[in-house]
Amino acid sequence: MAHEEFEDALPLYAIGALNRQERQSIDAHLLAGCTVCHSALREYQAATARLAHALPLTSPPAELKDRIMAAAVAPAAPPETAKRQERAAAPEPPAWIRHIQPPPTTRMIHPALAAMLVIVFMGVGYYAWSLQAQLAALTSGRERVEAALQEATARATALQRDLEARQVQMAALRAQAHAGDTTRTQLADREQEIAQLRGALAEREMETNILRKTVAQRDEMLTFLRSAQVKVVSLAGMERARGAGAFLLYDQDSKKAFFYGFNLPPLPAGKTYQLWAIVNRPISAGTFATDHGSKGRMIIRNLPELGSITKFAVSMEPEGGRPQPTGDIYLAGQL
Amino acid sequence: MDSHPRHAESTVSPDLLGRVAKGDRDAFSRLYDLSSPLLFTLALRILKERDEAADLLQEVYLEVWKKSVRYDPRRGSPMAWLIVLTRSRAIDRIRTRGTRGAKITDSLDETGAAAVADDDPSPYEQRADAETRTIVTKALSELPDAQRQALALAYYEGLSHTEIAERLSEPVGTIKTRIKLGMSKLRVSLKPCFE
Repeated sequence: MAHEEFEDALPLYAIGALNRQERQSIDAHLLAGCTVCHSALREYQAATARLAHALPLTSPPAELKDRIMAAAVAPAAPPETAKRQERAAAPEPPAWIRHIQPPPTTRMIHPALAAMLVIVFMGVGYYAWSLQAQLAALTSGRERVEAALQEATARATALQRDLEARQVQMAALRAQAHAGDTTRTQLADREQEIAQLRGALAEREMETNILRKTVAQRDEMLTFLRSAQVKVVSLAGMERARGAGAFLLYDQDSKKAFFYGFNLPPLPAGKTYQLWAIVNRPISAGTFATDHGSKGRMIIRNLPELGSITKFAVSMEPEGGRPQPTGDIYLAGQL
Repeated sequence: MDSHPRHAESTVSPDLLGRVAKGDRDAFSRLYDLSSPLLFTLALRILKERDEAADLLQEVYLEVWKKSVRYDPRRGSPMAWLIVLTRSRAIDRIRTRGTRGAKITDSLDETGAAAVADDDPSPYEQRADAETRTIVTKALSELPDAQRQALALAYYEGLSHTEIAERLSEPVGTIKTRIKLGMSKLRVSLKPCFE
């Protein structure tokens, strides 16, 4: 669909006269960052919101206010923690993206979609349960990696000691170098051994570094999953990946997020999935690939402007990602 | 409690919503006084049943009470936000009950609400936001009937262009054109209200 076609459909979008599929196409176009359409849509929606002003006003029943006030039981003075959680759960909506129409509630959806949602909710339940299992697995996994790290460190230390001893021998041999061919041959042999030891030591150091990194990552995940502040956002599959879904766990305080996507279509060669946080415009939150189970995982650090993100979306982009979305939207979720 | 609702778009300030978000019951009460006549009118226009409109309003206000932190001044006026929320929830309801389309409504300024309107006119009609009301009413009166009808069916009945075309036995293209033309004119003529 060309830009002109999207622009042409904006009046129908604003007044709610498009069907679901057409709405989603426009959502995807807006997510791609078309500023012309954003600004036109804002005006159409501002006009639409004023239509009700032409109706002859009717006062609500007198007792309604009492009913509402009685039902509005106090989050009167929420504690600071609860306030933070509230902000994390419902960050303030940003500019154009908030002009996208409110998503339909479950009461108005097609039975097939309802069934799909049931599956998604079951998935959420399963995922919540599996997070607990993952936490336990991460804890024991971390212990195993920690043991391997200690072993690797011990081996590297032994190698280092061996290397130092050989170097002392080498110095002695060099001092005797004038003594003849036998010593020179021994010297060459020792040099070769030392080169091998240096290679082995470098390998161990590399292994140790990888293990250290793994321990650090597991520690990070453990802290993250144990945090009481972590919130979950679900992302639903769009037209190109109806069976796909994802969860994004995020912690406003640490600005970290963990993304877990599933049933994602396999990536063609030279392509990657890219996660976008929608603030005033889409901001890249990183790229990820999928494993054999069509799952994608990613840890995001320093999530930008978390307080004002309202949407997350995943698009397919050329390898390495792009500064702004250029490909089709596969997943989208609203806070 | 203020027993004289003076709905006014300009008087529902972002600050008031901010106070509601912090759990200020006085602010919540004030918000209700200022906005409920228009929101109830809108709900009634869509749902056509007074009890259900009241029930919907309760749902909307409680949602606002719990979630009004979602409001952001950059997205438009607080009143526009409340209107979008109310309309959206009301359309959900008519879709759920499946009774929409019982009758063709071809007006953007009467039916449902007018049919059960209070005898006691709201003070709103006499004061605040009268200018907006005048501009909107005039803008709508300048639209051809067919365009007004298409807009009403989309906005108040929640019908898509294909459903409107079926309902009116008109080609889909014709309905799309009517909506586009009507909306384009409203966009221009209502601009003074949101600039």
